[in-house]
Amino acid sequence: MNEASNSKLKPALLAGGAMAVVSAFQGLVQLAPGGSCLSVCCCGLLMCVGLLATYLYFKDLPPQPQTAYGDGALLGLMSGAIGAVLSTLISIPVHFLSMAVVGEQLEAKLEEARRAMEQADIPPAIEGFLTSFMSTDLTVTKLLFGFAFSLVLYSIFGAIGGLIGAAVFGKKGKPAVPPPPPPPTMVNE
Amino acid sequence: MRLERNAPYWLLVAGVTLFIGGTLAAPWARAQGWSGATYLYQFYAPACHQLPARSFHLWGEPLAACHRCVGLYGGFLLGLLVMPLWPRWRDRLLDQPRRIVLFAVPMAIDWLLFSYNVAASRFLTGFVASFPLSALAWAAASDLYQRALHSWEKHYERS
Repeated sequence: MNEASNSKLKPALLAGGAMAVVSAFQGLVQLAPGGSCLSVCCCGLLMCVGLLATYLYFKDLPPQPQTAYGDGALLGLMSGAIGAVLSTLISIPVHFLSMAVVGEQLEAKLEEARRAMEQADIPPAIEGFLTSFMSTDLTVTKLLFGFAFSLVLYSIFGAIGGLIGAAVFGKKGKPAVPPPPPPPTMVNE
Repeated sequence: MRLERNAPYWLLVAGVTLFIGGTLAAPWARAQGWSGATYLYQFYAPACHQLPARSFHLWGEPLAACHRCVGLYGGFLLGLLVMPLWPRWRDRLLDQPRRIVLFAVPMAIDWLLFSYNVAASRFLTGFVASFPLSALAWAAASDLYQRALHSWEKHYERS
């Protein structure tokens, strides 16, 4: 790994970690009555990962002659991918915690949905498949699909956030030129 | 910055078209009774609330993204397609990129007026906010493509 990717890894890790914490909080809050208010932020929350990563990256960089859009997008993409991995890992304990708190209410709602599905005309193979998704159990399939979806989406929106971050936080200007060395002094002997 | 309609540009256009296509394919798939519709809706779920009351409907089913998100995606795609025709505007924007924040102001105001906004305002403000972003995405894709080409050339020179 070269120096450039090393300098990007730290902000990407920090932003991805922050994203995972927020998504865990969102997972817990959404179970509370009226708690789905966070979802009105749409993709804004996902873009914040890229914004945060680029802020952390550009704040220590000297001014560049051109805005580094490529760096911003790459950084956002990295932080989004890291955020997806960490969010999936955190979602496991969050799931068990939330099931312990509101598991019964959720199970009752799912039972209603299952009954509605039984009345609808759905082929048995598809019904079985859908039923496996409509349970409160955490299965490997559910986890893998969730991870794959969030990896793609978090990376895309992270990259867009990174682009905005590069536009806003990127410092543009002539790079600082080091002062010339002092002229050699002549010593008369 | 010199931007060309080269491979990364067309790749970006194809990717965004596919992404928008997915939001339209979800209601179609659900209307057909296809089980893959569940996956399509789930795919877009982390980025959108998908409230049916705040989404456009096709074939009697809501799209996989809300009014604002569809506006954002649509504005981005149209921006990508139109930017090559407006080189001076694009270059000015890339020269002073902080201006993109101004395009997001109407969306922020509309978002704050949560109970008062309407479908058209949500869609249009989203559209306006993402339109200039496409120039930045194009510049980033070009930048990364040039860097990759440069590093490959260096690699082959060495070997």
